[in-house]
Amino acid sequence: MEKENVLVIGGGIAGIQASLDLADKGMQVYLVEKEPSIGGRMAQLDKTFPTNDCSICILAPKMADCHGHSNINVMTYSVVKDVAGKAGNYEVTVLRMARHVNEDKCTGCGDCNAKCPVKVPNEFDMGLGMRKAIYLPFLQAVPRVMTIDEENCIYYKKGKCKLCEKQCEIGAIEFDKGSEEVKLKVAAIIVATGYDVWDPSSAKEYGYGKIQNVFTAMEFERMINAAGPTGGHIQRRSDGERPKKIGFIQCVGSRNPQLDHPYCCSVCCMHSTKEAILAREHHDDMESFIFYKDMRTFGKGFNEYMERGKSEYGITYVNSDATVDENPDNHNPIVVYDVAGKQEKREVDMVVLATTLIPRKGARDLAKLLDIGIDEFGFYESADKLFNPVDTKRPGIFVAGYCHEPMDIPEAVAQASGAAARAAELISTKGES
Amino acid sequence: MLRLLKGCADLDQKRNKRIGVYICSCYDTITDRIDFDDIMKFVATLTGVKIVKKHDSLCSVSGQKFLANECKTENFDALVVAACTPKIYESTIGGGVVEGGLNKYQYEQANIREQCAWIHEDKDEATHKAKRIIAGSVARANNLEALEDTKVDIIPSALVIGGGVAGMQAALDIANAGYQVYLVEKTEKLGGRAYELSMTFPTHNCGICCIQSCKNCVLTPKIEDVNQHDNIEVLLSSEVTEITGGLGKRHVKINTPEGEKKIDVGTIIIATGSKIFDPSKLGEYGYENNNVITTIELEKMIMAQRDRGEKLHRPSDGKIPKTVNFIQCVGSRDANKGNPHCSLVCCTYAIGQAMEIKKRYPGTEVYIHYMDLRGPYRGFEEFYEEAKAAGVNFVRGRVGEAFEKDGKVILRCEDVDAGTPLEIESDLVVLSVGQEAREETTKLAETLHLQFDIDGFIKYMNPMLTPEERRGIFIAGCAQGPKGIRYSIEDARLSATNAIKLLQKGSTYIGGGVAVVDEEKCVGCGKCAENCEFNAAQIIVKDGKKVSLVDPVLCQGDGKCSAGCCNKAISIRHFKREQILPMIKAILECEVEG
Repeated sequence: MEKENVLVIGGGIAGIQASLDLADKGMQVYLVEKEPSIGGRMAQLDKTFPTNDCSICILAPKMADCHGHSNINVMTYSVVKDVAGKAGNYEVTVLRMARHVNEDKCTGCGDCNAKCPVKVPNEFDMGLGMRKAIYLPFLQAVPRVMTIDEENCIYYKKGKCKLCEKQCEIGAIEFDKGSEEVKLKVAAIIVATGYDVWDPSSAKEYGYGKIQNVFTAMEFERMINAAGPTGGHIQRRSDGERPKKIGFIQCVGSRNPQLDHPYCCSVCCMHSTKEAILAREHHDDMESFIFYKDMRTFGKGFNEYMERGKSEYGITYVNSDATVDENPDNHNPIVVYDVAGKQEKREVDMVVLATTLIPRKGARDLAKLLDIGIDEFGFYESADKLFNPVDTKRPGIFVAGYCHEPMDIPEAVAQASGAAARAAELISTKGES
Repeated sequence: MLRLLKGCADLDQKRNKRIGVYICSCYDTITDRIDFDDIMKFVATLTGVKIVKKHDSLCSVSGQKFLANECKTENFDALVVAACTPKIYESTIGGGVVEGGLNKYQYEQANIREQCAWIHEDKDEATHKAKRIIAGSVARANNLEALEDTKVDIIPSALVIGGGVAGMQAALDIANAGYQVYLVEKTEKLGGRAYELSMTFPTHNCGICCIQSCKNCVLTPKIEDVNQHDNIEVLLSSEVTEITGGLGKRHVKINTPEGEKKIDVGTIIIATGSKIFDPSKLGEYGYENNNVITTIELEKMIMAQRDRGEKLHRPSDGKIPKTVNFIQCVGSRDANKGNPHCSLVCCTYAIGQAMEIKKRYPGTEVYIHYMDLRGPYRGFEEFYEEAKAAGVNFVRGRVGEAFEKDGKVILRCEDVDAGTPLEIESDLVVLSVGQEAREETTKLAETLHLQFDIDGFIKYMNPMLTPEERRGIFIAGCAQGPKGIRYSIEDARLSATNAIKLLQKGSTYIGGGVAVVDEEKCVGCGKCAENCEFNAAQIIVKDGKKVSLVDPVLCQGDGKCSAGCCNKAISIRHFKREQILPMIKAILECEVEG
């Protein structure tokens, strides 16, 4: 019997889970990921709440399983260009962008990028570290294959260099190979495109981009990660010193209709608590202050996690909106907040902003392409919110993970399994369910 | 310990084995933390070691291929990988070894990353420790033996315990996949807690009130689907009284109105839900007062109003209340008198109820006293704003007490945002009661040897990823913690997916690490049977002699039998004395200098 095909868009934890579920059921999966590696946001996080497990350590085996699975075709550095047809019989055009490195030959040895003369901020490290123009986004990247970024590569700018090609003994570099389009026939599609981190520089009250020692939570995650740009050292931007007092500000951009994100991002109460706990685990003298609207530690074991944060890790929770000023003498951020209607100030060494998370750039275009519902904020909509939240209005297209609505990792995994189950159900009943 | 070690002195060098040791540098991220060259030189001197090689990523696809090739060409008796934690990576890296033709029980993984390179500052000391860890693994590898897993058939049917939304969804998914499902429900009807709800979030449909006619009702068709499904046998007013057997074959006794029913099933889904917290346990909210009710009681009043046009009247005198105060977190987030966990749904339903009251009686003042408003759902924020716009008052602060005075309930509380203590008179007080684990579920889970979380609910095997249960038992809905309806459904679908995966396999293999009995030595004393909580060991008479017999399907390999055996007759395969003791000895006595 011919295998039924399913397309999964997005190679984060949700897309990976959905792919593995379907592949284990004997279906052929095309996993399309825009970035050079699968792994998504979970690969960037240091630890996961509420267990403080190492995030990449849980994820990496799943990434490897995906890549090694005989029923999964992992297509990284690729985007969906067109979708035609209907449930059970979609015709999809995928653009495989030119990475200029032969995926079958490259072993990821790194000889090429050691010699590459270009240095640009690494997106994976939220720009805190540098990468080369030919690069592996992170150590555990899957596939372990280099990518040349045309925008920054000297050869594509000036027509010469090719140092990497000279270094590569196996001849994996392919400067002349262009992007190509691939046509796929699939019975169902699962959309799991995840989220972007909102850029808080437009909200001047937090000083991000102006006050050096104000960071976003995602920057902090990379910084505190042992494999991150600072090797796990928490450092101020102004002087590289290690902070002793950190202020975490919640709901930056979330629950804020003025900034067009009235929704709750659903994860920042927990990740800020986690980050404060980790900071204290790194240094016994670390003091953390979390300024919040409502502490929404609502999931299994979450409230207990917050209580532990208070009792064992000395986190001080302050119920107030907060803004940030700077002490010009030492570049210390000053958090301005209210207690019972009275304004107070606290000088800290570093501020971490729990910025809201927003649907990926391009979510709207993809919705148009797929002809599925999307709300005013860019989250994909369910046809049946209560019983089949993963169904979209177009039969045969399902959604999972943060692109659908704010959620944490276990829920994204649960939804992905749900979406995979729905896709499998559709295929086994030939579209009758 | 020394006494034990003496006994095995002759064991560790008894055979001339061919052992390969492969040391992984984790993409060269730990090479600056431990000295690889030094370690490799040392490892080459260990007994049995024929080959020592370094690799930078044994967990990668190419790493596994490399190991498979090495196994094929080198004809090893055992292989040791010194790398990361086997807890997560053993199956991945070991996969390459098995592909190369080696038995998976002849593979040993030494953790030199998490337990060594990552945690020690001093490179010399870390290197020293890594040597000891590897020496231990090599010592064990010298005594490893090939084992076969036991094949277990999975009976193609499922038992779902609990007929609420989670249980119904799981039953439907499994039945739709073509398997026989027995759905056992304690009460006389399906629907569970949703039956008691006047509205659900975020669709604002009623729970079940419109059972006969309402075309918007989402739950009624579910119940009909379940009742009419050819593959589902619904057992109402029934309770599971006993579950025996092991993975793939569970013998279940069910008490039904028609008498006892016995079935055999391949997998079980526990969807028994949660219990509502009893507020009379807390003295301070005056629940004994007529005009202090729970949110569940208010739901009934709201439904009576909608169905039969009854007015919302307060219990003491039948008058429409002019002021209503909701107290949040009753029994939740209270480690002293209630439960430390958050019950997740109370904020949302209290707001829904408050708005319902405002809609019917715009003149009634409604207050919600809360600590944090928690609605981790899409649409909640708008719902909250809508409630504020409708005139519902939100007051941050825990209520100290509620007591009766002159026919009114007095609330002593605080407005934290204003920093002022308050004393409020109220016609009606509604307690937003939380959820806790049911005693029956706890008992059931205990007999199935499931673990519990600190909140008393059943624990996931791996909360971060899928709740994959090795015993063929899955949990769905509030049995593992408070959840809203759609989250219970999502959870049920996930559990059903995992159950179906198991059923589709038809059979599975159980690890070789189970107890074995040396019948020569066994004196049939029965200590092992006594010590085993899984009923895996029992005493039988064989050739006129009493001996212990172990059922490998039931055995979980915990080793209690072995530890308590008076004659060292019972041991756990793969963790035998002659495998573990040389390992300990090597770690303790390892000569690492030179």
